[in-house]
Amino acid sequence: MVSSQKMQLKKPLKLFHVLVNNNCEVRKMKKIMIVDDDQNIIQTLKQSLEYMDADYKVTCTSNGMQCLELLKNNEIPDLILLDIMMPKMDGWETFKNLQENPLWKNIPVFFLTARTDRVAKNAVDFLAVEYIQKPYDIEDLKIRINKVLKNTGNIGKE
Amino acid sequence: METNKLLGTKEQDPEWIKELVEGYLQRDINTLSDYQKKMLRDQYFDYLRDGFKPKDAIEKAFKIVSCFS
Repeated sequence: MVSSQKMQLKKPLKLFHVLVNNNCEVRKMKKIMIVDDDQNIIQTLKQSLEYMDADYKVTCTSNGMQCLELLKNNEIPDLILLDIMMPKMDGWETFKNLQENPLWKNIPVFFLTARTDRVAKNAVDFLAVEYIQKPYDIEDLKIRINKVLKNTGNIGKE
Repeated sequence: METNKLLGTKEQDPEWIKELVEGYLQRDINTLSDYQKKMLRDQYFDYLRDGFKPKDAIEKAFKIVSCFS
């Protein structure tokens, strides 16, 4: 009896898993990856972005190596917020790795940095889609994110 | 301990970033459209991948993009 009940449950559970796993595609959620070693910034950004827009799905990593690992596992975001100063692999090296892979090179990257020196400012101006100076304004960041995602076709195509 | 050392500070900028900025600042990039900037970036990394030095890569990338302006 118990065994047959379990059998009956299997199908709905399987369907539930399929629905959960495909949730991003069904709702056209916007996947954003934050790469920053500062846990306070990660948490604040994640909560703010997800609170402001239920269609944002934010994943967080604390350095470039972790970011590349996620990408290798096919967790490809629609946009990356990338810090420059990080342990293990900095933002420059991470960006260079993104450019070397045809599947990753077109992911829009926002550099998120506290650096204000001439080299950093000009380099990010050339390399990144956007350059966000820390401390940032979350409303402004959201506007810029939406603008870029709209231009790359990830918003308003339903 | 060493693995948690902060990279990407001003003192540790890689050569390709420094040379990119030097080459970049020698030109007026304000006249370039977003599309041209993207093309410039793609060309630059293509040349780096092909083994060009960063300074030569940015130089060649600018030459290519100027053909499309």
